[in-house]
Amino acid sequence: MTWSLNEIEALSRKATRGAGYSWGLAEEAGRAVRWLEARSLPGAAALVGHLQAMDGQALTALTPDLDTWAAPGGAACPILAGTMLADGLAGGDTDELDLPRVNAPLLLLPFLSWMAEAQDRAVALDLADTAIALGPDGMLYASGTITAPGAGPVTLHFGASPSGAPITEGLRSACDAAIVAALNTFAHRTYAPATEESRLAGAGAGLSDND
Amino acid sequence: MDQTRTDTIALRDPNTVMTLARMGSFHQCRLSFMRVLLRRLKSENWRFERREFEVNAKGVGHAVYTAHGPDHSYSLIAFANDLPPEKRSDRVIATEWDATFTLYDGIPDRSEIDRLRANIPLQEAGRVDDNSLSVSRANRSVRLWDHVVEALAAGGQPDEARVADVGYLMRTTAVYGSGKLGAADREKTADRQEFQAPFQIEMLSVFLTRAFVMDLVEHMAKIRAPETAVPLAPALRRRFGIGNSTGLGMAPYLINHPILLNNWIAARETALARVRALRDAMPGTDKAVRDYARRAQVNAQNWHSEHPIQQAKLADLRRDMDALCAHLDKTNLTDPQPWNTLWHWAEANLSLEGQEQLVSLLLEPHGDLVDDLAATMAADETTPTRINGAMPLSEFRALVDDVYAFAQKIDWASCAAQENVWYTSEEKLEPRLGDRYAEPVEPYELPLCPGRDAARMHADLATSSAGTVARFLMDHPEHRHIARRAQIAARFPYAEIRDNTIGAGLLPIDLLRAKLAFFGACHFDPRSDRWVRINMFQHAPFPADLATGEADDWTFPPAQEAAE
Repeated sequence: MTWSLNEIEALSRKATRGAGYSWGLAEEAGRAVRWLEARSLPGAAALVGHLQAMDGQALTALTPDLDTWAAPGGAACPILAGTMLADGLAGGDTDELDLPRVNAPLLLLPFLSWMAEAQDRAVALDLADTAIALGPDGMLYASGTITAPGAGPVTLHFGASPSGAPITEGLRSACDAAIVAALNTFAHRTYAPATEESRLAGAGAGLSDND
Repeated sequence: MDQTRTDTIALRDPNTVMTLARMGSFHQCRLSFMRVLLRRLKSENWRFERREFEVNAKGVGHAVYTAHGPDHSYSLIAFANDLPPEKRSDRVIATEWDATFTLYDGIPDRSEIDRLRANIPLQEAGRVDDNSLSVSRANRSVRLWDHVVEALAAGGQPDEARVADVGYLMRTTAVYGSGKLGAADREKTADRQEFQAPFQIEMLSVFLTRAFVMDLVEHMAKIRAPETAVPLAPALRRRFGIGNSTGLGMAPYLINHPILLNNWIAARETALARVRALRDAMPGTDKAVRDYARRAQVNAQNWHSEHPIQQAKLADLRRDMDALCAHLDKTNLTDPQPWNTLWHWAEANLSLEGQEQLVSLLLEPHGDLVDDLAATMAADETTPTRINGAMPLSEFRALVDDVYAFAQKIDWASCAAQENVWYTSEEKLEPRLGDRYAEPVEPYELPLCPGRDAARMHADLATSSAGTVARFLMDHPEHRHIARRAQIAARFPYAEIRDNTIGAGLLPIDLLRAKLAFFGACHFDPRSDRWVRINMFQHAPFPADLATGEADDWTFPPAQEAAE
């Protein structure tokens, strides 16, 4: 069974909100997972891994420092680090940037792609043993199979021309049902328990709907 | 092109257009999606066939209706059900329906139909793949259905007054597209010409659904009395549309799709400005607008609602159409920019209902001037919604002040300003509206209150020492959602509703009406402040009529009716 990308994006957004992120950051997480899943990369699984690892921690502990890019709680959150990078808080005049420790670093890739487009220069990094590049044209290139490592250091190189095989964008997600179930567990926290009052008034069923 | 010499007329100010009261007064027009669809089906000579129709004496079975376009074929697969009356509900919490449908990309074979038969009747509890472009369902209007079957079975025709009273035999209670339940994302079909304009998949599905429902009612009459049954008289048949029951769940859509909303409104505003800018009325258009005004006058008389809010609006509209017709009778429309003059008269003399109806009337005879705008109404909602972190905070503050000036005039500390909370209920994930002070729903609030959120951000912007939007949002991740909206609204002027979407006086039906008017609905009949009934494709041609008949002159009552 496959999923539509809209389904995966909406579910990832709600799950991230359920884990305590603001709606604006949850939107970023949803787009990031969609971007990865469209390229047959396990973005939803990476998000589940990250949300389970950070669950219960304050987001401030996961926010990287702007000078050292280290997070006070240990591993930085890839959604926070990713948005800061895509927003342009780093890389303007440097050729290299060290992120000492990032959780689920696969989730950085879409943000780095958006950063490459915004700054019109490629971003390259290694994940496990695979060399990855994000072109200023929005394309993803890889020297081999991209895996989803756990927390670890990431070094970003800016400006080199991308090498490796381009990875094309598809229209479906082949995400495992167990991952979707795990996302649903987080998303469920955003739903208000039903009450009889909300059942009647909340949806606005006034007159009979049956004629 | 001497006839279309124009001066420039500025588009209407978003602060004028994007109020809930005005959006709740929108009417269908040439750019509405049902009309865009039928014009295309006609101009491209689409061919239609009923490939399968296997429905038993109990009304259970399936049918396949296929539309063949220049490059692709699409099939409505309908599953008919024998629904016990106690299970018939239009609410999203229903679990069974009289009929369920999917619009299939191509022509389904038997194994595909069997696969879909195991899923489509379950709706949310089923799964489809990306061969399905939409998933929908419909319930009968029981009183009209039984009457029509009985009348036809007995060899007669149904009572015209009863047909006019309800107007449809089935009403859809949800039409899902864009990836819902596993269906194809819009990206799969976005590059096909026939789906350039928004909601063309859903409108095609409903257009074919109407054909199926009419065939089904005649089929059931024939099964009941094979010796005596007759089909519906063609003229009476056209009077049936497909009803639609739209609840609160659709209301957030326009807020959740700001660029799409902008593109719909901008297309209509651009069309209005083009007509107003004409230096002279083009040949025949002065008579045409007068004729359409009389037809709109009859339309307002024929439009009924039991809801007091709508009754008051209908009284406004009837008064407005009387005034417009009287004004047109004594106006010769030969001055320079006659439509602009008429428009200014309307702004000074008509209510919002009448002004917005006049927009439709002015566009009506100017298809050559405005129909191309339908192609601008879809939206790329990916790249343009990325935050521009490099924007200097001073520039950002200025744009927030501009777009959300309306929000600064609201006293957000008052209970009335924030009385409503939009939230998603655990039960079938239905969007609902709750009372912030009476129900424990605030922790689940959805970001559907841009005015309030902008006011909150405004306070933090005033004290921030950040130099850029990126730095500000690092300090204030809670404002990221509204910051994105603000940057979108700065580039897309009609993206934001310039009104309070959570205040005590909120009428969700205003949002529903704006959306449904763009769909092409003609008579809005609210059943509460958050739920509205409409009729789609009423008086429209059927698929078989398109080749030889008129495709685009069905939304106002016929001219002869207006003349009487």
